[in-house]
Amino acid sequence: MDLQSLVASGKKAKRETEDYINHHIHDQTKGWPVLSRIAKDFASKWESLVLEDKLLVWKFKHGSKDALRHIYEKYRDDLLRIAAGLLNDTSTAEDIVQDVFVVFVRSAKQFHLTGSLKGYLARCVANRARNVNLSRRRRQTVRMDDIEPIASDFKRPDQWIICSEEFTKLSSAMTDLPYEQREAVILHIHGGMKFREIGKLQDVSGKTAQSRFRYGFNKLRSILGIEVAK
Amino acid sequence: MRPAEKTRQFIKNASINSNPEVNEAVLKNLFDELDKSKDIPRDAPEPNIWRIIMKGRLSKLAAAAVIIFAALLALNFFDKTSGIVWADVVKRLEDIKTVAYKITTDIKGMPGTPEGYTTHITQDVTLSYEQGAVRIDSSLQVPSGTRKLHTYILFEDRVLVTLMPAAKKYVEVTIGDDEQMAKMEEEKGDPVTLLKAMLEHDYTELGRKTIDGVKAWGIEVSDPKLGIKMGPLISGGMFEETTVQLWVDERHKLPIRIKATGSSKDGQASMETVYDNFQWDIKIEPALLKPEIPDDYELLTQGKWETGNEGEEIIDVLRLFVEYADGKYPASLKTMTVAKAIAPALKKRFPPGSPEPSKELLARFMKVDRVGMMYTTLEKDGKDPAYYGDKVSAESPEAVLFRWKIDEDTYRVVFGNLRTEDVSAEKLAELEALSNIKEK
Repeated sequence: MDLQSLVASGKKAKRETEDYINHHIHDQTKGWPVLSRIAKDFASKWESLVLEDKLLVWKFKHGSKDALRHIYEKYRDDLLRIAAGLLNDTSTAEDIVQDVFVVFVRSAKQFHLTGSLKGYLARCVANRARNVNLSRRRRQTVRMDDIEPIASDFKRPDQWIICSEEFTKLSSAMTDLPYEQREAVILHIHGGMKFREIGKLQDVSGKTAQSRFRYGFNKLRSILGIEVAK
Repeated sequence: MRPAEKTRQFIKNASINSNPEVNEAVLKNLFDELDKSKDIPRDAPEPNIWRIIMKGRLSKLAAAAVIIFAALLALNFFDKTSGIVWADVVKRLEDIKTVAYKITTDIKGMPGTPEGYTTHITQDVTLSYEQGAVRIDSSLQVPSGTRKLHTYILFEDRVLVTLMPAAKKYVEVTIGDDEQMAKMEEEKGDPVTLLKAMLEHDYTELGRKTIDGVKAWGIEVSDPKLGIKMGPLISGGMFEETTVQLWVDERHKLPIRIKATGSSKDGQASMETVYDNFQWDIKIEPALLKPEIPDDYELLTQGKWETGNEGEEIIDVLRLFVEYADGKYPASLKTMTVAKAIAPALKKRFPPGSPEPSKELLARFMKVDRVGMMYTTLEKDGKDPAYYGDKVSAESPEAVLFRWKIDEDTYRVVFGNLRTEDVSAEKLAELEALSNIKEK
């Protein structure tokens, strides 16, 4: 079978799997989706093709550590980048991302994925970052545990985020942007979120979120002009 | 490349790396969390009603109660079998696809409210038989203000979700297995089953009267004829005395008003609830019945409702009275009586500002909410329960406090000191005679 047919097979399998999961996600007795409708010799390739978020979440909800590892490795760095970009404070960003994952794991049984997993996790990070930012505005100094309880007692052994030179420059430039603009830029570019979703998060319309992005982006372009030109 | 694209590319490429050792350490922690979450028995966490109550210095019982009320009421809306005398009315109701109505309830004597205070609760119920879903928007006036709650029950998913917007929290309850679901559906409470249950009893004709300009006729049933079929709110163990009136629009053969009153034996707690503003077969947007949980809402707790272990659960509730109320048991196992009896002791034990009780203890406290339901379930299942808390305390260790039938010939007896013993019916009679108690 050529690549095109393989991809078509994979897409069909993905669609069937999603249908299956959507119908049976609350029924653990049904077990793993049946592979009989898919050519057996494509089973392994099929798995790699459909290992997308819904399937990962389905496995994760059924206690799969592999699925959790996959989700964690797939989104960890993106989330760290979003948090660090929003806060310009790697230590707090690390706490937030760790906490988002811990809460995600703890709420596995209740979790229902309705959109993109990345979008969901990004929103969780953004919400927590926003709370930190609000507290910072109210108070000059703030500790994470002043804002909301840390979900886990686990202490990380070392610094988690290692910033590239570009990221440090970007992060520094971001601090000149109003928070809402910074949020719109980061969530759109790094989080892959639509303006409508960002608007929902910011409690404004999608158009307003888009305007915030535009203003923020233009200002950033101006600040970074020299760096970008290099 | 245009400047804008260059900038976008620069932002995209501005990467971070994560320390591999820390990555593994954090992941290991997540695995531990996952293992822990597997260890929690599925039925251990329940709707964390008491946590809300404790945090609110017991003044939020009304809020807690409405979650339960709303949930239980709505759970009972899905029995649509017929075979009733008022065939026209029942038939009309069976053809109904959707309904919306309002429930207005005034409760006096809620634990934690000032003496004489009336807790006012309004609930807007939207129900779709087609979708198998219910939404209940509740508003409670308690001493500290108005609280709003949104409850959704999705029958296909067997899940109940209550959102608490002010606290940005939500509660999720799953509903056992098929057997449990079937059992809950047997317990009625909606206009259809209320009507059927009332007609099964010796009801009193109230005659005809005009309600909101509509000619209606009604019937009334009073305790003790009411059984669990009348629904948990009205007779499922909340109050000792209950009366229900049901009024039907003569022309359209549909219920127009349901009114229920209830009171505790000592008269300290009472309730009046009215269902009206019925709108039948209205158009309901599917999205209205689907809960949208904002990302920043915290899951307060998850729980599971199931039956089969009621007797033991009741013993666990009674154990709270040994631990916190000097062994003085509630006079009855009606929820309101039990809640009122334990509330002062808990308030004293956990004054404002004291550390919150452990999760295990909270889980036990929450059983109080369901104690009346559990007792009436034993009755309904023919387990012949009897409770003598009005006569027996922990100071009478050998007196029979509570008993129920565990099989055809055997009763489980709980004594004043909460010791249990399985005995024959003859032995039980002997023990009860020795205890100088009479079966109620």
